[in-house]
Amino acid sequence: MAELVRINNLNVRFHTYEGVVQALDGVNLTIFQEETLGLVGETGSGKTVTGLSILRLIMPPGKIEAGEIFFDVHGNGLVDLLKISEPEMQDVRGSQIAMVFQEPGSALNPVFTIGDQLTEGIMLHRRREIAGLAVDTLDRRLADVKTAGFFKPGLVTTRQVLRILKTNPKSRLVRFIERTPLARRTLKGLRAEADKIAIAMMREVEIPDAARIMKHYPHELSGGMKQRVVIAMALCNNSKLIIADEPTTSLDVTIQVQIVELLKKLKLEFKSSLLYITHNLGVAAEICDRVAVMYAGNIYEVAGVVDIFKNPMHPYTQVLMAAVPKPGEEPRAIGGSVPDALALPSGCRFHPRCGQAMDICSQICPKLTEVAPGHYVACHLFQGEQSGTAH
Amino acid sequence: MTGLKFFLHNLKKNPLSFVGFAVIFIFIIIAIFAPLIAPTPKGQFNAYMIPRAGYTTVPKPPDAAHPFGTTEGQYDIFYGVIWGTRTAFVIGLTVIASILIIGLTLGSISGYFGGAIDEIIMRITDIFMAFPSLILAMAVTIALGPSIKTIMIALITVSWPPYARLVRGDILSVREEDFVKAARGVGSSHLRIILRHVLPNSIYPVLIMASLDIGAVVLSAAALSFLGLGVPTGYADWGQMISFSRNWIVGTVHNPFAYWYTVAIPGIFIFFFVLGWNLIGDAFRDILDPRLSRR
Amino acid sequence: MELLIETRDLKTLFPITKGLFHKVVGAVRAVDGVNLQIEKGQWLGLVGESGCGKTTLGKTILRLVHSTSGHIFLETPPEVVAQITALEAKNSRDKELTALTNRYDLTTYSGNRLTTLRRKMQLVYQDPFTSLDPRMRIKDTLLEPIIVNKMMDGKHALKRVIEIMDMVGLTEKQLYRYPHQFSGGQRQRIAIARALTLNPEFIVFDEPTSSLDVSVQAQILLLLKKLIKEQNLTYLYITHDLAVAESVCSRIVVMYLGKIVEIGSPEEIFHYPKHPYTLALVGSTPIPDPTRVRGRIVLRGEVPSPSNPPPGCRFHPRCDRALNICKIDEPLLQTTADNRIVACWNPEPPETSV
Repeated sequence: MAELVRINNLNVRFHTYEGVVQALDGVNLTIFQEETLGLVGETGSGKTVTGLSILRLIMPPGKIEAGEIFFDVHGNGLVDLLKISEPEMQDVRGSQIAMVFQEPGSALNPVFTIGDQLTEGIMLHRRREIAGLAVDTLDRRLADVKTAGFFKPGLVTTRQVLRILKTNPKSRLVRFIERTPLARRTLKGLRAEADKIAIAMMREVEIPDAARIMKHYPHELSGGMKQRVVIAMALCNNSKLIIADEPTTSLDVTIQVQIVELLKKLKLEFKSSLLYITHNLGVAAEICDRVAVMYAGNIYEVAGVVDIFKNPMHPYTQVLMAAVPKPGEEPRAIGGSVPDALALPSGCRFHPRCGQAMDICSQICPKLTEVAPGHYVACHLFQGEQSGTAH
Repeated sequence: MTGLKFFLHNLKKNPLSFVGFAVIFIFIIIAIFAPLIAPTPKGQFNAYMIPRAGYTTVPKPPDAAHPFGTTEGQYDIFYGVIWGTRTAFVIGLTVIASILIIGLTLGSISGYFGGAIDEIIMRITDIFMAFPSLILAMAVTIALGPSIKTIMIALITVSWPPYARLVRGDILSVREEDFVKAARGVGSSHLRIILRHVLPNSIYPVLIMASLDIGAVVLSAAALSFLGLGVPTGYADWGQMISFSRNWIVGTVHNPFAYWYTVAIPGIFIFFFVLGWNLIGDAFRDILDPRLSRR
Repeated sequence: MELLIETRDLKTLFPITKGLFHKVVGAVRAVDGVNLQIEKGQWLGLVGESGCGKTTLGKTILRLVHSTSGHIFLETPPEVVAQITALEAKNSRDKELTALTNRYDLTTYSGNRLTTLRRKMQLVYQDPFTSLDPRMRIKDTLLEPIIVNKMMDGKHALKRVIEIMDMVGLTEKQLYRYPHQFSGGQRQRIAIARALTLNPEFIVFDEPTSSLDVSVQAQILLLLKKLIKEQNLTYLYITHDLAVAESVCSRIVVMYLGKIVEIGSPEEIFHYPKHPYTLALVGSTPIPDPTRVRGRIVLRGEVPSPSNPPPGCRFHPRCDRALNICKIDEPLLQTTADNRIVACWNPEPPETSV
């Protein structure tokens, strides 16, 4: 399968007044085309930071210190997202890579209608397309001699403006017109086309009565509805990669099922890759093709979903599996807790809690190596003479 | 993460706050050592009455005997501003302490119990806030006669409502917190909950407002004294000194700044005192607010 | 099995007011006629989704929320309960009824009796980050119940607090720290310690692990398992995670929109659910097993508002087994022929298994 995203040695630090927090410590990850990769971990594992880094949304005091994030932007090879300019990155955000956040209540702006928010992305990234559609609609209207007539001059000017937009989406003239109060009306057709696309998208995510909901505000919708809107926003531009950061954690179980089924359906339809960040192993088992397990800023195991649940190799993965309550089995726990981000243990971050720790574990951090086909583990138990990086 | 480290870090980020602390520290020194810096003439009973070097009206410029000159009626400016510092602290701290107590008490009762008590207290607050504060203060001082106690009573009367309001608001939000309900659950009495749980968690915004307000209180006291409605004539008070300079601000025909020292020197003292407290208040806010949201 | 707590037709309604004069225009029917029985030593799981009233029910039983009507009986002999029910049915206002209810019905307790009652029943809150006073040291937080109830003097109180910290797996040194210096799991242990200080008989847990990591959740559950035996406790464990309830609880109660729809053992609920809602709930619970394919019931629609429940059976608009009677008449909680307790006109047949 072709690679869509390849993260090499990503290193992210947060410079807080209490000290430097090593959020990500040399993360290596690959996401293939049309696959769903689950990023599983507990608090402090760095999974959300990974998702935000791909979109370059890390704000100060956080900083991406080192590493590369390769993304197949134009369909012909990987480009390092960390090296492109900010305007280029803005083009990528929302159109090529979209994000679904955890809290739909805070992901939606309370003072704008659903329609406003859905069409914002479309108007930004698909200008050429909707300009074209608007021109077509206008042409049809002009062709109808009866309704034209009085309005003709206005319509022709509008069509001219839209034509300019179609050929040059970033035209400065149009940007100027956008800001002039009366002339702005010529661009109303754009919004109408964007609305049509938005309504179609809302039907995809199974929101009933889409046209009416467009005029509603976020607080008038329930949690499940809001999350569907956010998903619709993410899909609006046919993104190649959707990053979903715990999209169902704040929802009820029965609504969660609906959203998960929806995501599975959409994934197939739109042929996008999905990076599903979660701490819920049950949901990961349902929706993911492959799963990566993170702990304290590092990835410790990556494998196919069946493999990782049936045959977890890393001690931490085994602990996680044992801790999840399953019908008929009691959860099993080990002592200790996730290490303090300011004072991470040396070597392998898990060694203080690991029942199988050896001497080398406290000195050298193990690297991800392929232990079985498609099954990668970062653990000294599986590495003969492999040398990792010392900490 | 100790509080001290946090404090110093914020100081580094915000050097002006250090200026605030330094300024007020200097004023504290002046206030404490006033008898040494500006000794009271022998035989004078009340140290707060400014000694007069004569009775002529025209102010005299600074010289050896009077480092800051004299103002109308030959009151020694130096003595006046030094002992005025004490007056400023006394008025400022007493008024602020009193309105804190009144505001906290009324605000907590109002916010914690709600219902009818809340309505009544808030309407009383409204009544007080409906009056223009300076006018009301003037009315109180006229009614009670000029003295330093009167100024304080007047200022307390007009300044307590915003505190009660602020405390009530904070308590309304803290009251709903889980740990307050948990304290009820283990059987704590209302009084205990207010004193031990609710107030310590809601007091910071009030403290910030109080530190910013000390400056404002001193300014209001100065305004009252300037209008002649405050301290008795001759009392060491900055506002009073500016009041004395009223006729001399414009100076003479040839030299508009002839009597600058009568206005400028007390004015500078007021300016720095208020500035210092404002900077401290800002510093408190910067230090305490992020901590509040950083739980 | 001895009953610790029994509720009869317990209702908690929150009035909705409109207008300047707070005219009551409706009510949120959070708990709408619940007959619940909790046995001594039981770990009872109360499951349901948001808005079903499980939290309100827990708090009502603890008298932290005012009940609107109904009875709560604590350690009351069944004959007395029967007597009260009988007297009420006769609609008599006689002195005997009043005397009995005043003695046994928790809803009549107030003042000193209520304070004494509080010692026996405690609550552990959902969010460990807000349930501890951030400005008090742990020592003071834990000493508070003892001081307030004047149970012991200073030295003994401190000893007791150290003892309890040890019970929940924390050290004496940690007594002198503030809540923000602890992790979520540790804070929840402190909350559990606070609940234990007064030596209660009954603890209500309001989704205590939903904001915690999976591994921490496992630690807390094991701790609770240890404590329930050691300290002779009874638990009412409120959760929306059916998997957790199934793995630790001895009995499960399923609620929907203010009413109980099914009661059963974990095995029964999880493998042979009778109520269609229970089936949907079980089907929606994610299981970490990618190979297991379940007959997933994806429910239509959303949970209706508790202020305006559907007529008849509250679940009927979303139920795929709804009959005509379901729209008109509300089914009562009954024991079926195969010894299952369900409130449904058309429960799942015995062959339905998950």
